[in-house]
This record gives sequence, C-alpha cells and structure tokens, in this order.
Amino acid sequence: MTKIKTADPKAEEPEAEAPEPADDAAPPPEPEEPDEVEASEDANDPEASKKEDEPAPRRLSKDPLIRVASLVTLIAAAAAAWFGWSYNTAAGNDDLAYAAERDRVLAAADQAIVNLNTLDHRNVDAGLKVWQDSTTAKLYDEIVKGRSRLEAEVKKAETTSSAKILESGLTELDTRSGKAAVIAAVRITITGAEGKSSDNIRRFAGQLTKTSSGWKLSALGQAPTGTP
Amino acid sequence: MAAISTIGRAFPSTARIRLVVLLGALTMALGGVAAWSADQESSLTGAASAENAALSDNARTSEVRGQITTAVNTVFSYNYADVAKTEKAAQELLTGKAVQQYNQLFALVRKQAPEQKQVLTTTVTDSAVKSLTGDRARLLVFADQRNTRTDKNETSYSAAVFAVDAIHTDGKWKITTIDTLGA
Repeated sequence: MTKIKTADPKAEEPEAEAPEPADDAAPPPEPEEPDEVEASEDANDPEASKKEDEPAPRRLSKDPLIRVASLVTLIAAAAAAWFGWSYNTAAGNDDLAYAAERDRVLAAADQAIVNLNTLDHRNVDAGLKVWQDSTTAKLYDEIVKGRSRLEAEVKKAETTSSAKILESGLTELDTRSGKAAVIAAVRITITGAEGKSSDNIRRFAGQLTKTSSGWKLSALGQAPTGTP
Repeated sequence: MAAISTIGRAFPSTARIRLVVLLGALTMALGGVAAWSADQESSLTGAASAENAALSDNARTSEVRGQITTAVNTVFSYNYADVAKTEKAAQELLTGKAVQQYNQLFALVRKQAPEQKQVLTTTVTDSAVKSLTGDRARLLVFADQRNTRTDKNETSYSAAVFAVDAIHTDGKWKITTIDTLGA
C-alpha cells in the first residue's frame, strides 16, 4: 500500500478523494473541500497515507445508513435532553420533595404510634426494645426510665395490647429543622389474662424529630379533653 | 490502480462501520439517559404524594383547616334557645351525604334539646389535613363537647374524634361526609 503510493503519489489523490468510480469520471468532485488542498500539499509526506482516513468520513455524510444512524442518534439526543431537563425541573421542585417527605413522615409516625401501643406480656423485652427504637429525645428517656416498672405491671396483669391507626395526619412539618407534629385516631385492643378483649378509640397527639436513623417520636400523649 | 482502488474502498468502509458503531453506541447511551430521566421524573411527579397538597400548599391547607373548624364548631353546637342558627349553618355548610348523616347524629339532640333546655357546644381542639387534591380534602378532627342541661344545671364533657371529607364549592369549603371512624 505505502509502496504503491510512494511509487505513484498522484494516484493516491483521486483514490482518496473519490473512491466511487463515478466520481473518477468527473474530478474534482468537491473542490471546495479544504482537505483536498491539504492532501495534495502533503502528497510527498510519508505520513500522507494516514490522511486516507480523513476524507472517508466526509464522503460518509452522503451514505444513507450513516444518515439514518445520525438521525436516530440526534433523536436520542433530543429525547435525552428533553427528559433530562424535565427530570431536573422535577428534582428541583421543592413542593414535590416536601410532599414526598410529608408522606414518609406520616408513615413513620403511624408505625411509631402503633409500636408504642403494642405490647405482649409474653414478650415484654422485645416489645419495649421496639418502643425504644421508635422514639428519641425526652420520650425515649421516659421509656427507659419507666421500663422496669412497666415490665413488672404488664407481666403481672398479663395483658396484650395491639393498635390500629384509624386516621392520622400531620399538623406541622418543618423539613429544614426536622420537626413534625401528628394527630391520630387509634383503635387500641387490650386482651386481658382471661382472653377477653376490649376496644377503644383514643386520640393521640405527638411530636416527631428527625434523627440520623429516620423520623422518631419525641413526644406522644393522648389529646387532652376539654374538661376545665 | 486496481489494488489501490480496493484498498481505498476498504478504508471508507472500515470508517463507515466504525461510525455506525459509534452512532449506535451513542444512541444507546442517550436513550439510556432519556429512559432513566423519564423514569425518575415520573416517580417524582406521578407519585401519590405529589397530587396531595396537604401542608405543601400552606395557604390552602390553612384555609380548609380554618373553614372546616368553623363549620364543625357551628354545625355541632346547639342552643335550645336559638335552634335556627344551627339549622341555617347546617344547610349552608353541609352537602351531599353529610346532610343525612348529620340528621341522624342530631336527631336525639333536636328532640331532647327543647325539653332539657340543652346547650351543646362543640370546640375543635385540633385538626389535620390528610389530603388536599384540587377541590377536595379530608381532615381528621379532634373536638371537645360541652353539654349543659340548663333545666337541671348539669354539665357533662365528652371528647370526639372523626374525619370529614370536604369540597370547595361556591367559594367555600363544605362538609360532604362525616366519618365517625367506626365508633
């Protein structure tokens, strides 16, 4: 290849510029192309052979397959730009992030309230561990403090309690400071030693605090009734 | 010349294949970016939480909370001496299913109030907007009720908890359903 070109440098040019026989008939096909000038100037350069690659892609711009492939790529680029932009807009939308956080906090609150109203006298230790895991700050301290007394009481009474959230909602949510307030209507079922169970609906109001391991209850109590 | 010609053709065709492969790879990469972005975007905007404006639309949340609090306070308070006030409020602030539910809940009060000279005062102590979508909202309401029998000068207190569905019509929020939560 190199030999041939060195032997006949002029032969290289029409070949490189016009690989199609049809173009051979009427050279130069695209005299405005700067590469052509370059190619003729460097014709004697031993590295000129490398230039063969350069004119080729230019011709490829007329290739139907390349055109279709380019178009498809262009469409993909447009789609990527469009969806990328709309994702970026959505991700930057504070309202959406806030709404998602609100639902997460409420779910955490529901679970924590259920946890704190669930205790099986046969498994008090594990139950109270869950209580501790659901709480933080003052409420956590209270549980730790009252733990042994509560354990003794429940074991003596042989009661089992379970809870179901009937309805709950956040009354406040400050994502920046990591504070939230919740109110909930909870049905609590207490089963005594004789297997008799009783239901009642209680109104709870609680505070939540964001910790490194998620949102936890920092306060929980039954909503006060208006007895003066 | 013939040899050069063949070699010459070989070059563009290698470049052609390379270019097609490159474009193909680029298309797949861009397509991947597009698909991922679209998926992420829809999980953000299409989520149930995104539809619900409770708390995230602070002004509207306060509005529905305030109006429903007033509505409950008015509609669930009853003074034997001024029955018209409550009845008028009930007509204005209740709609749909809530009208019938209210009539059931208040049947006894309506009957007893005049003879016992009853004054029932309901005060909402706390409320939370559970959902707020367009013209509809659901709220959890905690309320205290003070019931005074003026004839015997006796007063009793009770605590109430219920949920209400509300609709925004004619420029204000009205109660459409009273959910006593199975109580």
